[in-house]
Amino acid sequence: MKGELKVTIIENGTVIDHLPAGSALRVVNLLDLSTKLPVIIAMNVDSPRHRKKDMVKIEDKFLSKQETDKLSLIAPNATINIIKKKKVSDKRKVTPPDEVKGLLDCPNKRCITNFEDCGTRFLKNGSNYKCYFCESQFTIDDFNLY
Amino acid sequence: MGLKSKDVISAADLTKAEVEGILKEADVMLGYLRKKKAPDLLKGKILATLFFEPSTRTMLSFQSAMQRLGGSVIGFSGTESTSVKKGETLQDTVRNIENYADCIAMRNSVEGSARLVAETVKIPVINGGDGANQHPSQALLDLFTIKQERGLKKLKVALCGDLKYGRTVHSLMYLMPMFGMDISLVSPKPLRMQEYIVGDVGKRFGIRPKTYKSLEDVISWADVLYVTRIQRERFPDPNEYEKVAGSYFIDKKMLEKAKDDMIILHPLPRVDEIRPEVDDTPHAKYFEQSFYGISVRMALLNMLMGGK
Repeated sequence: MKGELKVTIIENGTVIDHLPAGSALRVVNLLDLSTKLPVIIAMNVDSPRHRKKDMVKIEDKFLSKQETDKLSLIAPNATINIIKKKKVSDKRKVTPPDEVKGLLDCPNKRCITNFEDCGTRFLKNGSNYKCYFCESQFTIDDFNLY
Repeated sequence: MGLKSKDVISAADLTKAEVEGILKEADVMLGYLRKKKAPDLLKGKILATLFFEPSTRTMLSFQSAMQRLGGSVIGFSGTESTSVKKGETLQDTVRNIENYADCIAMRNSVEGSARLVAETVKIPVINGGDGANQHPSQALLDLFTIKQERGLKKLKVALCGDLKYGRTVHSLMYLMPMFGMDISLVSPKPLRMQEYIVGDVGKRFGIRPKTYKSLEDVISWADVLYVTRIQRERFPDPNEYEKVAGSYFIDKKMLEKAKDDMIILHPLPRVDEIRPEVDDTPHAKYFEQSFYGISVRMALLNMLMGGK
């Protein structure tokens, strides 16, 4: 049937919608979902807004703030649906944070964060992320996310 | 006048008003230096100079500045005789040192180390160079030298040499456009300035520095030639270094094409990028830089510790 997704409904958990087509497996890896929980993946499905999109449904899982921030780095237009008793109880868009703390390793091997246990901080600067410590800037593709 | 920030870590953190305040204070300090009599503004204060990476000029300049203002100095150069050699972390080292001093001036080869130290201790921290990242006190003294020799106006400045790993040029990029200076970047391709710095400065000041491969392209255009050493150790292939290094030098013959009042600056040490025959021309101002540097560092120390 046109316009209707034939994807299994989950009882309780999270549906990550509006993922860029082809990105679902990266999201599964990014959130380390592959071995722990029932996960349903839909790829290249029709979407009125994005023409094609991916979708990830995770049973019995609700994303933490840190996981949502991480997700927003590779899928800034994703939507998160919280499912309770098979119904959408909450729906929100992810927002790429202005500051990413403790999630990413600095790709600059000469950065102090690769020598001392001090945590990492990146500040969003346009489409780049600037290391708070060494001031180097990177695009999201420069990070080893998976 | 004090500084808004507790620390001086990156030129990118400084506002024009702060830079003007530092240069104004440096003018006062220069007056004291010229009279060979400075007041004991920092009597009873202690500066710790922590040079994890060896330094000649910067460390001695900070020490001299502190002592000229009546303060005293503790510290080290190189890590041989320190607990760092035993594996102590930078954070633990400086947590101890903040009990012994009122301010830290430091150099470390690891980028971001000065920022981490500033986050760790409560006393002010001045970055005297963190790897290839920043060297704000050098850039401030460069600017002060330009102010003294040419005045701070819409000058044409060519930054030449190793623009990728040269920390002083990274700092200068954030200071010079504050005063309307027009910047050109001259370097071999592998040592071009990082695009994110050029882009950042462009966004901040609405400029787009031009890039050149040869000094010949800018020699008659420039009011200020800021030369940095091309660092042999950065090149994987020594032959590539030889090709490039040979093409970046200034001699008297090249200066025939320069404006009469063009000045040459260099953060030093130099290797062969400025031939010794240039030293006694009116263009050479790189030895004056180290003199002006003391007054700038006196200004910084007094603003951070004295709070005048």
